[in-house]
Amino acid sequence: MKAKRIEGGTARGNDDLELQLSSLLDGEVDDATCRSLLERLRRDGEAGRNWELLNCVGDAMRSSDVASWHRPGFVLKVAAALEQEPTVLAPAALPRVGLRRWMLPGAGVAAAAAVLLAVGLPRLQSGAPVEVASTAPASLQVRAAAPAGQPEIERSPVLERYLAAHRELADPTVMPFSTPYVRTSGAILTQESR
Amino acid sequence: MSERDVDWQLVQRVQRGDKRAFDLLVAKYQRKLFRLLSRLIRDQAEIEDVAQEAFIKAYRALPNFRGESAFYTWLYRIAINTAKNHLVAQGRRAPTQTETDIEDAENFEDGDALRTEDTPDRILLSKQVAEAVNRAIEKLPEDLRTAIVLRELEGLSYDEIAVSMNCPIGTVRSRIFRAREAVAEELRPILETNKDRRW
Amino acid sequence: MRGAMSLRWLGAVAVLFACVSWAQDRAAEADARTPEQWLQLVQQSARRLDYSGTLIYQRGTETRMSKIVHVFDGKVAHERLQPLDGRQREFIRRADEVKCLVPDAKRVIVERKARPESFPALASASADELLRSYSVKNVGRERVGGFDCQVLEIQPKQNDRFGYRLWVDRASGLLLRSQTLGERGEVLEQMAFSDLRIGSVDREQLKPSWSTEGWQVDETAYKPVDLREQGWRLVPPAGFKPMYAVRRPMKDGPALQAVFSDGLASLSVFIEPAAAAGSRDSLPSAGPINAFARQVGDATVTVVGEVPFSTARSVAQAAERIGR
Repeated sequence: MKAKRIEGGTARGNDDLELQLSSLLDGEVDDATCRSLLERLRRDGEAGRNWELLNCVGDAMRSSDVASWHRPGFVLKVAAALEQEPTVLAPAALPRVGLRRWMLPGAGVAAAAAVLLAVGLPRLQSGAPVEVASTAPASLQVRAAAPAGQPEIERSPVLERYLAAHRELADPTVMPFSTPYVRTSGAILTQESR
Repeated sequence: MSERDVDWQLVQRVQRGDKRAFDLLVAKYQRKLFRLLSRLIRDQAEIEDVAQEAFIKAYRALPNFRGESAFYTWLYRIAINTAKNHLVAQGRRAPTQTETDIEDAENFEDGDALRTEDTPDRILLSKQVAEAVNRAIEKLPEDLRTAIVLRELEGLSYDEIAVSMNCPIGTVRSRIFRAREAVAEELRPILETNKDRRW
Repeated sequence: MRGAMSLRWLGAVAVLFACVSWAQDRAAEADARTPEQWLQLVQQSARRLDYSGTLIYQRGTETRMSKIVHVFDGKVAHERLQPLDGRQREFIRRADEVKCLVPDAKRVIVERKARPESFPALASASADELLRSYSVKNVGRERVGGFDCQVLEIQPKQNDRFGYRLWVDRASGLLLRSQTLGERGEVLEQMAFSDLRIGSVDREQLKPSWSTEGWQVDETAYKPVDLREQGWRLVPPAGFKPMYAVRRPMKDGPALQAVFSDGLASLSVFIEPAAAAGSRDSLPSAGPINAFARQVGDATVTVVGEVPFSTARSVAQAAERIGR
């Protein structure tokens, strides 16, 4: 891969290939493209290396530990060994119908935001906290007045007042102190008459 | 489409005679497999050999795989057995960690808990990877970030992401690629030198 | 053990635990703990540890995120809660005093737990009290986000209240995830950390996002009262003990508020002049929070709490006026 080209950039021949490789990784290419791409990967050392690295991204996002086990060139080694193997064939299997997860427009963004913060901080091991050079959580804050597609939750203002008053005095005991506040963060006491 | 469906599609391609499609599965699961084997085998070179052997064995056994479990679950069993046989052939016994312990640990995909067999080098590398990912993701514009998160952490397909982000599939494809590329660039200096390291 | 709140956990269990130094590695003791001891640890850790992270609150299809920062300075707990959805506000806490910052109205609303000293008859809900109404079970271990957690299930002995499932970090005792369960075991709400850092909290993170200079500050003035003297008799469900009975201002005038707790769930009974409160038979429920209102003579009795609807209703229906 060439240097970062996040802000658009010139279209080069390689760009197309790498875009396709990224799609290949996600299983989002048709059979013919898949075959020709894999063929290319076996022949083109550099493309192969780059593609192996692209594979690491997902692992690294999910677990830095898993990603740290990356060995460049391993795939090609196995591919070479596979050349010596007779081609396996299996009787045609019944087609499986995969379950599609269909998310409402906008809901995905909120879900991504929820998950995103988990990505933003390295997972903490039990024991000493990890010193990280990255900036404080505030920089990753996904902030919106109300995320697109998630309207302000309809509430009863009457109930709200009671909730706030209840929260003020109710002792959460076993649950952390913040629990009632997390639960009813929308409710505040309004005391117009004083 | 779930991850399991994607893998199953690949498996079917291999079962229809496309050997090359197996490379995709190798590329996808090599890291997880290495880490799994490291719980049983200490030597890095051996881990790699056993991993290769496991993948080849999986390839040979593929006609028997009918998708009743997730591909990785099936692969994992083959890898454990390969490792055990390897240790026996060398006159060694597998370490005392029981198989259920390993399975527990493996079932949790992003378990980053310290393990007793982790070396300082390993811990450092893992931390460097985490920092690199943080850096890269923080710098991403929001649309790229969202796209990569929905793909890699939520496992949504391009179609699903297109609906969720309300944009054409071509845009999804491009955003994911650019985000991936950016993260890969941060990871490159850390992971590419890996092959020369001695633990 | 310091503070009136900690008197809550009396009994041999509490005393035993008080002797254990915080510096010790709790993981080693983890296997020896009873479920009740786990609960006590949960309560103490939430107060005594420094931590920061993001909480995800889910109820039905509603998902809300908040950032939280918590620091214990050796004497009192300091906390900042930043809801990330909805209107802007922040909750800044020091010990039992919570300031709710409302930037678009430039107001600070001080929500203060009534001082325990003003309530000498404050019932202390000990560990035994909780066990009167619930059974606590250790149901195993699970990994949550890299943390090794103990999973506890708290089942009510009767259907008049909810159950809970807790995931507790074995090493620190911090509650990482909790679910409130309905009668059929359905999850009514869930609270979980989506990311968490224990220790090394920068105290700067406790500061509010805005300067509150010049803002209007409102504070609730409570006055302890005796319900009986006020002419009322309330009968909470078995296991619920009275915590506070106060006279307090509400939007349309003063109200009596009586708070009961069974060691886990709590409910408030509000008694207001009917003219002020208006008449209504029921209020919408909000996940595990249910409410029921009923007119008694010239007063409206409103019950609100983390209890099933039928329980809120029966408490409201049991309220009666008594002669003075």
